[in-house]
Amino acid sequence: MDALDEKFGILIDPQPLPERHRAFQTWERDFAPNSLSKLDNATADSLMWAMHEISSGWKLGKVLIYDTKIIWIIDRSGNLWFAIEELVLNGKPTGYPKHTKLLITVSQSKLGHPALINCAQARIAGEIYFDTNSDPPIWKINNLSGRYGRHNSRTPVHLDNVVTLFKGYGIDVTPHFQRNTV
Amino acid sequence: MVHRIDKMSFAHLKESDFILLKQILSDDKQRDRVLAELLAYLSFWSPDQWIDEEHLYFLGLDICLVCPSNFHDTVVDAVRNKIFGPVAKIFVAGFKRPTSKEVQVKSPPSKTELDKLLARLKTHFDSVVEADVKAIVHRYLVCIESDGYADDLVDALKKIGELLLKVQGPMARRAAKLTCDILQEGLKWKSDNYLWILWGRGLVKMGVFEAAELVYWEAIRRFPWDMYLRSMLIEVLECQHDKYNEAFNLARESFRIFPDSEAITNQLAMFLGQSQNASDISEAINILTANIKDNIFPKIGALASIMANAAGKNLLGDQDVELVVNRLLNEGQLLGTVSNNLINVHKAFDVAHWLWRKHVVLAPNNIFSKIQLAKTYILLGGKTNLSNASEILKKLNTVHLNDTIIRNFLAKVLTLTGVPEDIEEAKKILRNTMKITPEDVYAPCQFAELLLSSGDPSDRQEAINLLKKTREVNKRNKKFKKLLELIEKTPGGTSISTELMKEEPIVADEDQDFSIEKLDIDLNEAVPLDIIKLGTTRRLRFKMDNGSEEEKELVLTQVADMLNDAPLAYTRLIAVRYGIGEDQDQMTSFAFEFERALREHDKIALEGLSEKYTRFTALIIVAQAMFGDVQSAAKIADLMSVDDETLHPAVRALKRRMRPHLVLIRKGESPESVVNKGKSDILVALHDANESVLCEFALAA
Repeated sequence: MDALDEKFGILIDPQPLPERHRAFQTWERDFAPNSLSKLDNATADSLMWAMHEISSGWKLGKVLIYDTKIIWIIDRSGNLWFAIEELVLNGKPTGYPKHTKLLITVSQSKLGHPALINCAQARIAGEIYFDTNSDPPIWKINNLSGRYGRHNSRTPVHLDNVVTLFKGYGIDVTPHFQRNTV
Repeated sequence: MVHRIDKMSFAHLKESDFILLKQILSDDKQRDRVLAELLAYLSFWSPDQWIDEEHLYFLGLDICLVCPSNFHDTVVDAVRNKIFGPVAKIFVAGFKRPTSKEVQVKSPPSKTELDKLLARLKTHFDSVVEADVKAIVHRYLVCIESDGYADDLVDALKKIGELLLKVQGPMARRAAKLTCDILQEGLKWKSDNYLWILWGRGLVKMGVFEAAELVYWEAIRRFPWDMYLRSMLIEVLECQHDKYNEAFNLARESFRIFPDSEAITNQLAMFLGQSQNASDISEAINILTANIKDNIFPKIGALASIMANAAGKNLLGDQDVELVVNRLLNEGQLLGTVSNNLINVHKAFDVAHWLWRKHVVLAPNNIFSKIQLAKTYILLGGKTNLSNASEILKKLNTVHLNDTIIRNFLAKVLTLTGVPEDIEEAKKILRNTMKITPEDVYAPCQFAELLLSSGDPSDRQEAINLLKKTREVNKRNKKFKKLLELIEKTPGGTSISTELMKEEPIVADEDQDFSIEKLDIDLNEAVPLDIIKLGTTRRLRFKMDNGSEEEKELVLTQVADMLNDAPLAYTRLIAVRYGIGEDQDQMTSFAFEFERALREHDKIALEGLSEKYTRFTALIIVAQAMFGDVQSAAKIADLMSVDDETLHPAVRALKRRMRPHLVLIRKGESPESVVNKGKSDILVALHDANESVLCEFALAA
């Protein structure tokens, strides 16, 4: 087990659900989200600015982010990729965010985590979201990815290390590790 | 903002929602309201909609975690009774996931455990070992379920599979069946090319040749760079007698793609060597000897066999023999190995003689070839040949007085003439040799034989004394000792010198795999249906690429038929290539769009694809170069120099197949001309690479 395995979890293929053969959709293999970004100094600045403005009460930003998710994943080399979860209609990516609670899009497909890295093997993955129900509302990060993040090999330490990675770029997020068992 | 749980909260549960849900669900009075909201949310999914299985499964799992256990059955019953079947099924699958007490991350079997099992497998195979193999594989699978790390299992399967396939006797078929079963388990986790090879071998051993063939067809689609898989497929086709032509055509195609493969070169040469056409024989000898000096040994058997068979049918030409000799002109020892094979395995003394006669003409100063020529004269027998041998050796002996080999051969020839003067001369030569080189074994043996042949008891005793004396000098020579014992036990004499001269024949390893009787096993029982469909499609593509016009017509009809029966993506891709069925034009993934662009020579579409699919840029650039784009041609070498690790598997496959062309570019040929010359090969390589894109991570078997 190398250092990256310990830090962000071992490399795994996108995981199929029990008794399911396919671990990803064809559009996740063939398309990447329009908003796909790699966490580096430039992208981190923009992300930090947006997150900061939203948590400071920027109303436009709050509306934009209220019902959409930012998904992220750690690749083989320890790079963090992130993107808005984008909507797929009739098997084709739209380039629009997928609204998670909007009735007309709730049962439409999406470009999920595998699409961020062309369905390759990866380490831990999850979401970044603005939890408006918290008091005060804060930015949180979880391991909610059925294909990479909820694997039994994933631990809270892996998620904490992602938090540290974000912190290195000046981005503060609170971890919420979602276990598979009681 | 008031925090509450409504139906749309289930679309994206946040941490604060979990806390609130836990509170509500533990309250008997409120939990029914939450259940109603949950049911309302789940009812959004109807039969005609796409179902987000990942979301629904984990929603079930997360709610289970916050739901009191005494409410579980109520939730499950409500969801099963009120929600659309497939949605309920996936939600309940998540909801009923085992608790932490049942889920334990286990460690895989240790190396010692595996080694112990392998050691047992090496000695025997029975139902106990069979159960242990199943048990150890199961333990690996349990661990993979928990950590996703499949490499240990794949490594173990390679070792176990190899040994299982060596099992002989009545349990052989059962061991082969077990091999196929466990390999399929491994292939569900990792599509490793060697596992595919073993799977095919297992099916061959079970006698299900057609199944093995389809497995190999699918495997070469997945691993278009693997020459060994192709070689295995050729063998499987060849042993099904009705597919001889297909095997021959595949060997031809494979040799075009992998000219450096020893196995494929041999296979094609053997096919050509069986022809009744002299030009095919010449081609076989030509391809076998093209780089023969690099690695002669695997080719010796094939070369000698082809030459011997062709000579038997009067199809071996002087130019063929000359070609072999020319290519081994300064490699007398290697030519000697070919000659020995002709002599010992095929008893083709005339062909060996032909080789050395030619060699003596082309390299007149080579002593070794003259000795070998004399040797073949001796083997051919008859007065004239012995006389010729004697003449050659006498001439050599006058120049190289102290050469033991020449002297011994000369003595042998003189003995064989049966002329008393010659025999006396032979004795004189042998006595001298024994004096000059007392360590030589051949001369005393031959001399002893001469003494024994006289029938005089005192000569017999002298022979035994001579051999005993020689044994003192050659204590380590076990063969010599054995022969001495034999001569002491057998009055009347044995041809000891002939025994000593005899060289060990080169016997090819018997391939047990292909000696199995064909068994009556249904193809559908032997391999999964998808593999049958995929393998059949790849085979049709091969026929389309290499078949006659009639066969091609038939392929088009068969592909069209397959489109009517729940076609797999690969069949649809092939349909796009051949322009069959408009439905396929609706497919939008890279493989389909690229295929259409290739078919239409659509440079604009290729341009668009390169912006959309950056990881496939290499495929697109090679295609553009093939369509005459000079700038793209110039980029090929750079693109292909990227490390394999970082490349998409399809690009990696293309890179390996482009290697011969890249070598030419690196040698200084212009990329444009290289691409132009190799256009047809490059198109096949692009098709292969594009096909390998499909099902990359899907269930392997």
